[in-house]
Amino acid sequence: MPQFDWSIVGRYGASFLQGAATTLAVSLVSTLIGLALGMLAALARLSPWRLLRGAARVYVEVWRGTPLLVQLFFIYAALPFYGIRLSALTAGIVALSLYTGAFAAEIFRAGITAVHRGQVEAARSLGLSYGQTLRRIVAPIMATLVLPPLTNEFTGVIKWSSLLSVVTVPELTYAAYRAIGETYSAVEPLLISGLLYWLLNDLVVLAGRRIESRLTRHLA
Amino acid sequence: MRGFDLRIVIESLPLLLRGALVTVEVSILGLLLAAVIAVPVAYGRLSRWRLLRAVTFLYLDVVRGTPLLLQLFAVFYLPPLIGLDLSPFVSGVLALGLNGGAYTSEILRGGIRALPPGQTESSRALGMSALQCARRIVLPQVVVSVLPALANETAALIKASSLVSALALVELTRVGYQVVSRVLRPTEIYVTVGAMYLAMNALVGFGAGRAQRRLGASR
Repeated sequence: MPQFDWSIVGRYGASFLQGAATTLAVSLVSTLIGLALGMLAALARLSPWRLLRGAARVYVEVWRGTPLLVQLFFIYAALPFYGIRLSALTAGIVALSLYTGAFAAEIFRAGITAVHRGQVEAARSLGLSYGQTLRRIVAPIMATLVLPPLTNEFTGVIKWSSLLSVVTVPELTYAAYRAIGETYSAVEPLLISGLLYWLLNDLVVLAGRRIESRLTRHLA
Repeated sequence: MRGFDLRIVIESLPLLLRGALVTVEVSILGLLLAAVIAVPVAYGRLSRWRLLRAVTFLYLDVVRGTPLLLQLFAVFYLPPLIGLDLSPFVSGVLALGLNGGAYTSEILRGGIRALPPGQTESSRALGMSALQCARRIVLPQVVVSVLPALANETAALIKASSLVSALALVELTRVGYQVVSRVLRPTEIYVTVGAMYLAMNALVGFGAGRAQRRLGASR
């Protein structure tokens, strides 16, 4: 077994940190767009119009039922034939957002349907305005239900964003892949990038828990 | 703008189906390995011994904290360092199994904990060994109760198997990519590839639904 080569940390440290920053940025942007898309799709699935319900359902089922890698290849390779030319980074963010949106839609749908009608009615009859009801009753209940799976979703996006390396977006996995190719040693790049992912992951989980306990403080 | 050319789809169908077969093989073997790993890990997490709990948690945290693609690279690049040369197929099965095992063990752990403790206590009081109790009393009930989650996990693993294409294993996604670079028809090919994955996942959902009805009815 070869020794751990610390010089790789020195030579590639910056590129790994940059990769990690790109991973975090891409994941954050994709999650935010994905959440907005997911909310729209969830509302569409609960809408009274059949066509809208159908369209949202097709979106959710297809995007959840096929691999992200195939979706990414499709967006990156097929769209130029229709006159839409996206950079690797944009294509990656579009693919990740659409993928996240489909999963978030199901989380939101479950959250919306789980807030009991009686709770809204009770709040209204106690004299709370519609806005107050939303802010004080519906949102906290939904948050407790929705936040744990959403935190989970964000950690998922961080991991899925590794696929962007396949279309040469210089994120963390790409940095590892390049370092392996240039140094012919795999242990160090894999360990460094693995640790960085692990760190990102645990940071998100921790942040999610903190937000959750803050949002639900008054419910305890 | 051009139309959807069905002829391209039909012409490349034999190749794509052969790729789909490899996807099915890699997924089934990965799933079996995941199941073999998941049961002891789930029990390890619930163990009285701190060391065992710590070791299984470390495995879980590493697998869940890092991307599958990186794990695939690890399984592909690291064994040759100690003189083990694995084919892309074996590496793929190994990585999918190790990855799926972590997620499946959490599902099983939830199921085991949800089972009333009286079940274990009474079977132990009747003289069953811990192993007999797990095999005959606990796991059969747990598997039925967590079947929907296991079906989800299976569908996720089939989709995840697409990443094995990064190790140059010629499965469905890789075949699709190769065909596209030859015929330059990404829409037709990737839509077909996507439809094949959808069909596999629909099959899993259908099978799980039937199994659940049947197993649920027998109780």
